[in-house]
This record gives sequence, structure tokens and C-alpha cells, in this order.
Amino acid sequence: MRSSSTGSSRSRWKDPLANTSAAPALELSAIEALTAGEASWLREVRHGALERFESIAAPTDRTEGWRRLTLDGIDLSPATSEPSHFTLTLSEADRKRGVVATTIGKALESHEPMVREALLHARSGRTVGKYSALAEAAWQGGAFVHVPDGVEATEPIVARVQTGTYPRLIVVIGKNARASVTESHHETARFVAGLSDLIVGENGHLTYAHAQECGARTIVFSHQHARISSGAKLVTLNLGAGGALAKSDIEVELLGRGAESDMLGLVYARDAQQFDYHTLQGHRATDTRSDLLFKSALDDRAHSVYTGVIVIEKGAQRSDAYQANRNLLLAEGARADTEPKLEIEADDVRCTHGATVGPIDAEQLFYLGSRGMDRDAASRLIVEGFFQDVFDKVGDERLTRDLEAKFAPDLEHEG
Amino acid sequence: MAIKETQLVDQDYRYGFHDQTASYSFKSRKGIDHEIVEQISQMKQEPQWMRDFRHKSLDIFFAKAMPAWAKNEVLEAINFDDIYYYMRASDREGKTWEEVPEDIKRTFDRLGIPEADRKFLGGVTAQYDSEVVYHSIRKDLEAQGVLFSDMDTGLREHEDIVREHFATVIPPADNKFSALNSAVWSGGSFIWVPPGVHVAIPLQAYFRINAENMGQFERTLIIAEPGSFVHYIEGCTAPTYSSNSLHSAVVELIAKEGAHIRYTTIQNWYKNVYNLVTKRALAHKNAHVEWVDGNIGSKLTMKYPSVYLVGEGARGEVLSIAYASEGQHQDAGAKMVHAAPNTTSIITSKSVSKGGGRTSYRGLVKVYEGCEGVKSNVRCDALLMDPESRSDTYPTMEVDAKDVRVEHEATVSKVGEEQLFYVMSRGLTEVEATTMIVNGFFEPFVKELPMEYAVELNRLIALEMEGSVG
Repeated sequence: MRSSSTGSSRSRWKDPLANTSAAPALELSAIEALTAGEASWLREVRHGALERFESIAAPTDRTEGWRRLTLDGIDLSPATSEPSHFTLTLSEADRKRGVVATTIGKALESHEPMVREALLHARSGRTVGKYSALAEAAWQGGAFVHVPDGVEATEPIVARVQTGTYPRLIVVIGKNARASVTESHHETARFVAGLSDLIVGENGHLTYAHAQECGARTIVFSHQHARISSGAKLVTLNLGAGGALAKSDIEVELLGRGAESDMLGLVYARDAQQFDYHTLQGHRATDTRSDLLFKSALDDRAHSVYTGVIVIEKGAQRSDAYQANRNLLLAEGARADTEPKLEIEADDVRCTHGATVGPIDAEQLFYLGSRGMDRDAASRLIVEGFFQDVFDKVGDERLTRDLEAKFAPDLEHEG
Repeated sequence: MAIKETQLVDQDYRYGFHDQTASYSFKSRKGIDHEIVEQISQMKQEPQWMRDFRHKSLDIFFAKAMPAWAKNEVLEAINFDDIYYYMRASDREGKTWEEVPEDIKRTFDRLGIPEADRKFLGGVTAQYDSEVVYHSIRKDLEAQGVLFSDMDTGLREHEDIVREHFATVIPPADNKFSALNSAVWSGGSFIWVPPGVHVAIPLQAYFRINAENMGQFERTLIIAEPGSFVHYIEGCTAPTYSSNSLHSAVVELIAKEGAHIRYTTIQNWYKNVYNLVTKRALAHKNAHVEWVDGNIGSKLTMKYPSVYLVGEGARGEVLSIAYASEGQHQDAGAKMVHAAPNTTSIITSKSVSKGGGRTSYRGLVKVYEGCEGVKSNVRCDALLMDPESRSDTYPTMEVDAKDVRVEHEATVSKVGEEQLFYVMSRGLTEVEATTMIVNGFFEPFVKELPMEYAVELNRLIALEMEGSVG
């Protein structure tokens, strides 16, 4: 396998724990070793993914989708595959109702058809990136959450990851089922590439939060892919706080009539952190609705790149789509790039998007100042409000309560 | 290109016209190489620096790849070896108004184009009719010290000014098509406005004498010295037939301190034309540049008028409309590059797709580090007339400075049934109602046009809407 063009010798972010100077991490033989004992269909999926990974050239600062990032000093060479261990929290009452939270390995025994279906269709979205292909080839461990048809999980299900390099979570919500799931990442290794597959059956309802709080030196790749059936609804909240460079693809496919998705995102970036979010609102059936709000607050020399696309396929009449990206610049050195895109091939649609980049509103500061509030306190209040708006839209306080506390703005060093 | 020349003379094309290629006095062979470039430069008896410039540009053209982001199979279909790169029109004698086909005259009638314009558009020698008008305008301009000629004449008569500014806004290496234009350019306009001079009437290529109009590889250079104002109008609402299916112009505008340039284009090429144009303006301190850009014709248009705001307090505006029907792709947009503090820009884009046509808005707003106090607003609205058509919006914003305000908003929708119902309830037919709504949608653009253009454009939309409903 090729090693990445940004060699580890140049890395400023080299994690002593990650042992990057070792031989290239993922040979075919390594995949063979991983997959020993796996079903042949799954080995085929892994081999196919490894081929895709190798067929895509290593990114440089001229590669589309990468050229806005600063790759100097970023070590993109893949890490050795270490199994990901998810700590799963599921209430006893929900377990008794038939809700399942287990490892993918165990689920392959107990729910084979369902897991197989999920793994075979996992990367049917538009963006098959180099590192999502890598994760698909190399994942180990991983978690599986399933809510059977007609069941409502009463407590949020939590999947927390602290170790591992290629974490994977599969969530399958049955027909007329309902659940809230939080996936949180706290890995500190040099390199993490994760996959999240969300499948919502007919008239199902899933509220899903993905909190990325990895180590400050970690390179974090994340690929989220959701498939929504008719009448079903998915609400997602993506929070980005950790990592030196975090690159996420968040794709929702509305596959059945009347499917809906609310997609929320919040990035709080500091120091020289780089966040790159790509979203897809894929309208592939009639009467579908999607609403996206991604916000970022950028301090110090942080940099955010947002590219989002609404695709309304031919025949997806009466689609209704909205997309907004708001960027708040808190420091001179901060930087925001935004590219909200529309591709519309049906005429009976309503499709709107908007994007803004700007500092804290001077009028708001002035107003709060006139009420006797000092500038720091006023700034903090405004940023809190900027964040709160996103949490409120999730509409599930049980899920967001803890996350809100972690996302309190820290502006003490502001002038 | 794959299409044979004979097929291009499409008898079904109701509003177009064409010159017989035989009436051209000089025609280079097909294809492009250094020999052709040498021939063009020799024919024009150009100075050595321009000759060198052309050759260097050709090498860049050969070396450059097609734009990768376009991913356009239509673009890949261009066969550069099957194109004439230089044709010089004869004196156009022998063609009379009577020879212009009846249906085209009818279209001119319906568009209400003035008699003199019709003859010009019909390819009939128009100098006799317009000479009087032309001379009085010419005299006014001369009195003000304004230079206005075709680019070849500009190079011959004002070499110093041309050499100082030529290709400083759009270097040959900017993109593959600007490199091609730089190698084989011919025609286009050259305008120089002295400091403080306000040119009262809009300048049009139409007023030029012996104009090599609507060339394939036009090269236009407009220089507005400090404190001056000029409005230039390119093209016309009437359909423009061309047997040359690749058109690749380069337009450079330089607005010096406090100057104001407005550049209006209405492009209505016949639907076999690839219209791949690079248009860019430099706006110095407190200068103001406006692009008013209408795209109605052509098979594929790729055009993103840009303003590089390089002086503090500079203003850039793009106001554009695009209309795509069957077989057409209007890939248009705008770029605003804020490279100085307190610069402002506004982009307003409106598009209508019909009958399987595709419109794309592709844009960029960039704010460089340290450019505080920048304000930019981008607004895109698209109307889809049927389920076969397509609309894309690809805006990009890159912001490297903190104290700025950058906003983008876009909507895509169809003509509202309620709107239609309301207008029809007042006794209008569906066609009339749709036309009225589309005209209303384009209104912000149309009202920026000189009146006669505005009237023509409204009528043209009415013609295009016929048969779109029912």
C-alpha cells in the first residue's frame, strides 16, 4: 500500500502512542488476518472497500474537497486497526422491551439478516471518501443498536467510545419504532476513522446525537450515512469540539414518500483546529422534507469548511428542503469557508438555502452594554445564544442536557 | 466539433440569421498550431511583443487541462481541430435586406427592433443608415478625448495604452479558454476614458466603424481613468446566428480610483454555440464596477463575471439572468474577490429552466486576511417550469477576515399555482399569465437595461414562453 504523501516525518501532531514509524499499517494480509472467520460476503465488502481506498489518490492541498484545508504537518497515514470498544448504556426497561445494544460481532449471530443488510448498503451515498473506504475495510469491534418494530425506547441509548481506530455504529430502528441515541467519541489516538449507519424503518422516529470530543492532536474522519423509509423521521445533531483536523461526511437519503430529516450541527473550534463538514440532503422520493442548520463558532486561528448539497432527484415532487450555514468569527485569525449547494431536478419543490459569515453583531453587543453588561459577559451571552438555538431545535432535552454543558463557550482570553 | 457545418444552418431556427462563409475574404485552415497563430499575427501586422504573447499563450493552452470542476461531458465534446480560428469578414457587400429570410424579419417585427438595427442584425450593411447618428456620437466622444475602437485598431493606434493594460487583469494562464483567446484573439472593443470624463450615452459595438462584431475570440479592454464613467453594451436581445460553434471571449475592465464602469451583456447565441467567456474587472480605490449580464441563447454558456476589489472602498455588483430551454445549459455566476478593506459587493442571480434546460449558478465570494469591514450579499433565485428541467446552485464563500459580513441566500421553486390562478382569474390565458410572472421574476434585471433593450427582452420572453404551457 502507498503511504500518504504527507509523511510521518513531517508531522507536528505525531502521537507517541500511535507508533506511526512502523511498517504501513494496512496490507491486504492485515485485512485477511482481521477477517479470518468472517462470512464470505463480509470479506468481499472489506476487500472491495480496501480496493476503493487504494484507488483514490492520497489527498494533497490541491485535491477537490481538501484544497481549503491546511495539510502541512498533518499526518494522514492510516493507523493500524485497533478494535473499538463501545460502552453501551441501555435501560433495563428498554432491554426488556426488546431493544438491543451489543457488539456488531454478537449481532452478526443474533440479527444476521439485519446487520448484513446494513453493511451491504452502508456506503450507497454520494461521497465515498478515501478514509471512509478505509474504515469500511478495517473496522473492528463496533456496536449495534436495534429497536424492534412498534417499540419505543423510553431512555436515551448511549454509545461511548474511548479507544480504537476504526469505530463503527449501526442503528436500526424498526417500523413504527422510536428511540434516542447518542454516540460520543473520546479517542486520543493519532488517527481515527469512524462509520455510523442509521436505518429508520417505515414511520419510525430516531433522534441521534454524534458528539466528537477526541484528543486535541487526533485526526478524526467520520462518515455518517442515514437511510430513511416512508413516513419516518430522523433528527440528527452533530457536535464538533475535538481533534486537530476533523473531516465529516453526513449523508441523509430520504428514500420513501413523506420521509423527513432535521439535520443540526454545531462546531466550536479553537487554537489551530480545522473542521470540515460535508452534508447531503438526498431527496429521492415524493413529499419528503429536510431542514438543515449547521453553525460554527471559530476562535483563535481555527478554520471551518462547510460544503452542503441538497439533491432533489427527478420525480421527487413536492420536496421541501432548507439548508442554512452560520459562521461566527470570534478572532482575527479565524477563518470560515462555506459552500451550500443545490441540485434540483424536479419542478414542484420548495428549496431554499442561506449562508452567513460574520463577527458578533455590534448592535447586540451595544444593546447588552447599554444594560450594564461588560463586553466579555455580553460576548459570552451572545455565543451561548448562538449555540442554544441549535440545541433547542433538537427537541429532546434528555439527549441534549449533558451536551449543552460541554458546549459552554469559553471566551475568557478574549479582549 | 462533431456537428457538420451544413447542419448548423438549421432552417427551423426562426429567429436567427447567418452569413455565408463564402463571403469571408480570408479564412485560415481548421485547427490550431503555431503556424496559424503566426499567420493571424502577420495578417494583422502586429508588433513583436503581441506576436510573442500569442505564441506563449498557445503553449499555455496546449499545456492546460479542461477545468476539472466542470465535469461536463458537453465541454469534453469540443473538437479543437475542427474549428476555424480566424476569419475576416468581407465588406459584406451584395447582401441586401431582401435576402434576409422572411421569418427573421417577422421576428424582428415582433421584437420591435428599429429598422437600422434590423439591417445590422440581418447582416446587411448598416453603415449608410447609421452613419449620421454614428458620426455625431463619434464627434462627441472625440471632443471628450474618449478612445473607442475595435481592439485591433486600438493596438495599432494606441499601442502604449494597450501594452500597459492588456492581459493584466486576465493573464493567459488563467484558464484553458483565456489561453486560447490570448493566442487567437481578434476583434472586440477597446475603450479608454480620460480622467473625470463622464460618457453620457451607453457605448455599443454597433457604433464602431468597420466593426468585426461578435467575433469568435473577441478581446475587449476597457480602461476608465480616475473619476470617469462609462457604460458599455455588448450583444443584443435579437438572436444571433453564428456558423462558428465555439466562442471564447476575454473581457478586461480596469476601473481606476473613483471610476465607474457598467458593462451590460445580453447574450442570445444560436443554440449550437459553446460560449465560454472570461470576464473580469479590477476595481481600484472607491471604484465601482457593475456587470449586468443576461444569458438566453447558446448550447452551453460558462461565464462568471468577476470583480477584484483591490482598492479600499471599491464596490462590485453583478446582476444576472439566465434562461435555459431544451438542450441548453447556462452555467453562469459571479465572483467577488475582496482584497482590500471596506469593499462591498452584491450579486443577484435569477434563472429560469424550461423544457429540460439546465441552469447553474456558480459563484465565489472571497475575503482575504486583513480586509476588515467587507460586506457582501449574494442572492440567487431559480424558477423551474417543468419536471424535466434542472437547476443547480454552487456558491462558495471563503472568509479570512473577522470583521466582515458575508451573506448568501438562494431559492428554487416553480411558478406558484396560486399566482397563476390569481392572474388567470383576471382573464389572462395560461401562457399570458406565465409570461407575466416570468417577466416579473426578471424585472430587477430588466429595469437596469436601456429602455429599448428592456422592451425587446420582455417580448423575447413572451416568444419563448409560447408553447411552454399547454
